[in-house]
Amino acid sequence: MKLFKTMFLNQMRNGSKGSNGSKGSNGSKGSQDYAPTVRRLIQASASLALAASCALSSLASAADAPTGNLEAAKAKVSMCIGCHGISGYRASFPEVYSVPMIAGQNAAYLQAALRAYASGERTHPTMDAIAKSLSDQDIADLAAYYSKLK
Amino acid sequence: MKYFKIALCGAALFLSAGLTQASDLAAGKAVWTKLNCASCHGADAKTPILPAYPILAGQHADFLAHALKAYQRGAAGAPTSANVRKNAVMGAFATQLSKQDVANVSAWLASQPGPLVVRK
Repeated sequence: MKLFKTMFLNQMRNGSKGSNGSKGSNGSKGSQDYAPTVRRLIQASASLALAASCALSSLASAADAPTGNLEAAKAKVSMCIGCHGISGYRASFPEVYSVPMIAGQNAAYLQAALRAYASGERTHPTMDAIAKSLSDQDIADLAAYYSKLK
Repeated sequence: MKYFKIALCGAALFLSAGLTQASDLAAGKAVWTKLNCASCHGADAKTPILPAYPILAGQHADFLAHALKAYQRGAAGAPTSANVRKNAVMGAFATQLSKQDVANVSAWLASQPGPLVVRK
């Protein structure tokens, strides 16, 4: 999306450079000034259409999120296993409780939980920090990994 | 005779502990039924209607209790530093539960068979 914005802006800049250039070279001949303006408009509208379709496709891909990769997750679980991989491990604030079993949990729920920590909908000092450090791909990978771990 | 008495006391204690536990579980199941938790989490507590909802069956009882308390704190507007969960639906249900309800329903859920395990 950023790329298309940049392209669009570049095209606008190039377009205006072109028209300035032709104005400079053609002086007061008004009729010849229309061509670059029209070209610039066409370019701009094409870029807009492109940007719009790109925005639509990025919305669609946000809805079905990145696919989890089990192999990639293996390099990312080190930050999970120190608590969730230890039998009988407990957290202590504000009540003492066993950290949840996440192996065998629904992948979509694990993703929702991590996003809730990242957004502040759920709070827990350790999980907030970890969730904020994860990309969407990391979250998808870890959720896929733990949901399949039985 | 002395040892027999001690053994009898031990057996009585064990039995009463067992009975208390049983009544807690029954009360827990009653909470689950009363609030119709199954309508989202599934009748067996491990087949939720949407995969974005958690499997609860067999989860640690103290974690489930902690989660319910966190929903209560979130609904009560506790500061985020207090370990809260803000969720309109779960907040509304959790606020209807007493401390005893939370303990009972958590114990009952933990006693249900489910796929959750501690694994790396």
